[in-house]
Amino acid sequence: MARSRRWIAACALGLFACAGSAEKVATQIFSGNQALVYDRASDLLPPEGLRVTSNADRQVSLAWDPVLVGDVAGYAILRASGAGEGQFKRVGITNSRFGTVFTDLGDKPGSLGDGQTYSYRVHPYDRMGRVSRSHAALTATTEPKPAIPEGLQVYSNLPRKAVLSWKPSEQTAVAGYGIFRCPTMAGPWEHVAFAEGRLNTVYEDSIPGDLRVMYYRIAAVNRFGGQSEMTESPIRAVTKAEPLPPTGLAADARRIGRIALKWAPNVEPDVTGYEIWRSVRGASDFEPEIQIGTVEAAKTAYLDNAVGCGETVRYRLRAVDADGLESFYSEPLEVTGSDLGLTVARTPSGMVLRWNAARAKTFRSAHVSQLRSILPAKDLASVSDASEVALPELSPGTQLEVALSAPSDGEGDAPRCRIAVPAGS
Amino acid sequence: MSRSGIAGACALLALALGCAQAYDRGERLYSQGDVAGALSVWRGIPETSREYPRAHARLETLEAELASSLARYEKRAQFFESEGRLAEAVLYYRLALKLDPDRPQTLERVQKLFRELHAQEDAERKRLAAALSAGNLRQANESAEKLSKLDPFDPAIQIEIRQVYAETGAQVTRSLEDGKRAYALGDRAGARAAFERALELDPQNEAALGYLSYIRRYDQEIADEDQQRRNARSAAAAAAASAPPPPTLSAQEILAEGHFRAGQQAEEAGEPYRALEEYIEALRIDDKHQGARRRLGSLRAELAPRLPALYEQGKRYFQDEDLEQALAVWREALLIAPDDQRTKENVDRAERILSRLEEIQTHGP
Repeated sequence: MARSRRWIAACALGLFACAGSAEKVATQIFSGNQALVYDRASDLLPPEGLRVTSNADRQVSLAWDPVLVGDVAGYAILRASGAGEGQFKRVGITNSRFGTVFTDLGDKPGSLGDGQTYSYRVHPYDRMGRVSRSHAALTATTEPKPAIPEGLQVYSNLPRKAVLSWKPSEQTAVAGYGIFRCPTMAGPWEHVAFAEGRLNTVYEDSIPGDLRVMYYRIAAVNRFGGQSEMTESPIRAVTKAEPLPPTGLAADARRIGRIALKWAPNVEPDVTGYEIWRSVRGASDFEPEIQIGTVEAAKTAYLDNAVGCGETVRYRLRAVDADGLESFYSEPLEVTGSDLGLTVARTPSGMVLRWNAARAKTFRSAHVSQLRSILPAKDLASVSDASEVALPELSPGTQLEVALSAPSDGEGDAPRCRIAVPAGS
Repeated sequence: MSRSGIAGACALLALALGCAQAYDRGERLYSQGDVAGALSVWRGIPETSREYPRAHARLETLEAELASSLARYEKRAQFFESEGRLAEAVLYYRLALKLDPDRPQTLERVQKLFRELHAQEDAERKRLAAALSAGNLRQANESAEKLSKLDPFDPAIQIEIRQVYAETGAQVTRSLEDGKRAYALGDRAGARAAFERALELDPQNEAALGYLSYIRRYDQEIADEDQQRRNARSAAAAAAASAPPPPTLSAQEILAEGHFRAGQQAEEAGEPYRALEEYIEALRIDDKHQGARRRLGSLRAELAPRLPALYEQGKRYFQDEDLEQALAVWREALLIAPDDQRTKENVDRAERILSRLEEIQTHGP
């Protein structure tokens, strides 16, 4: 530094020739970071018409009229922060009389910042390296940070997502938009995405969960990351709710072997169907629940015809909508299927097995067999249009099974009902 | 250790591990926002488990919070229902159901509201379509506003509403431009007609209200001067009979005047709090607006005796978990006395609780 200062001083004093190409002079004189020294011996005129030609994208472009008189080797461009109150520092040179344009990108790209004011001076220098007198500084302000985006809209009621759209910024420096969200209006705002591109003005945000409320704000961002304020009012989105659980589940278990379910239609217009779930009561508790059927939305009834004689089952329903969202289960409904009301009695003429005629009225035939643990069941009797049958003598505990068949309503056979011969019968 | 002892120890260990897993499973569900699921898992941890005290303590806190959150959700839903904002009412009832699905009355209420919402929406959409096909933009605009209030979430409705607003906005802008041009040319009758056209579509349009107010005032001044001239019967005055062009006004002056006029209309309609809002807005835009300053001061003085009652009413709503109503009442109080520290603190508190309430549905209580 000290050496170059001495060198400039020497030039200024004209102690030795600094001849050479303008480029060489420029390189020698303006290498390093030394302050320029104004040389009274230089009689170059200051350039006229200094103007700012662009202030966009964190850079300032300057242009001026060439100095046509004198031994102009080029121009040195100096910059100070603010409106000239700071110290001027050389930021670049041109090395020809007609090198009258210059773009100041800052020390590194983007470093000039958004909305920052700088002062510029342009000094011609001659081939002896002498720097001319100065002229009035010109102030320039880099383009302000992007304006707040406008027209933010949000589309709610979509399955597990929200879609945002807004108007594209008219500022060409805008490189995209930051998307911020928060489950409350109060913040803090989480930056969820960057929508790249000035004209990219739609963003689809995934929101895990149904019926979730989310607030959004966005900000425009330039290519150096300079960001506008966020949109002032947060805008609310709500993800689509799953259907409501079906209600009004009721059952009709009058016919043996089947339970007819019905329920109230769901209120959502886009429900596509209902799932019917059932679990059967086992020895101690209900067995695991399984789905036994699905019906379309237009139907609100289901016939379970696989119910055992006197079996207790628990039903629950679930509604499904067009987007595949499933409701919570409905309130469970426990139903006990009809049985035959079997009784075994000893009469003077022998043992008689009776059943409830009303419950069996849709079946014409009954077949009674004795269940055995190892051997196959043994046929005991078959009757038609009767509600009792005489049996041979049986010991207490003997398992009997009654199978009703030939239904008059054309539906399927009834389930088999069992009874053990009681002691003392 | 005997074989049976080892087996017993293993069983105990498995039980302990199982419960620890259950506790963690509950925490996982809770952090995913499935509060009902978490509660059910923790409730299922048996008293014999080592994890029981932890789960029990967690349940106690959570259940208390849950009860209060549920009440707040339902009160909020009732508030929206009373305002005719049915989709929002449904939303908050459903959020309550999400926290506690075992609420048959709430479920029934939601279903009823849902049907009502759809019926009202269908009817209003038909009215909107009829108005649009008849070219009755005013009626279409009214329908769009009703729909917007009923259901701000349905994307199809929102698109229809935006289209209506865009068309209305374009027409209002055209009328305003016509009015401004006529005003600048001194054609007060033409300007008045154009601004009234704008108000037909957008009755609260401040620019139109502002211009009309200035035109009325100016007409009055001209009429007064004419009267003076007639009284003086001077030939010189008669010569100056042609009125000078109306004064040039800045956008701020016009808007502030518009809000001032809207405030006066609100007072006439018996809506003093809306009037206060309008006067405050007028002064925010143009703090030199004398009329707004004067009316704001006198209306505040007039309403000041209501302050203690408003404060107490808000407190009662707050204690009843009805945060929206509490906020509405306290905000009215703040319009009268904007520096009342006690009310400001209460508003902050209620807003914080509401924020928290919204957070629950995403992160759990």
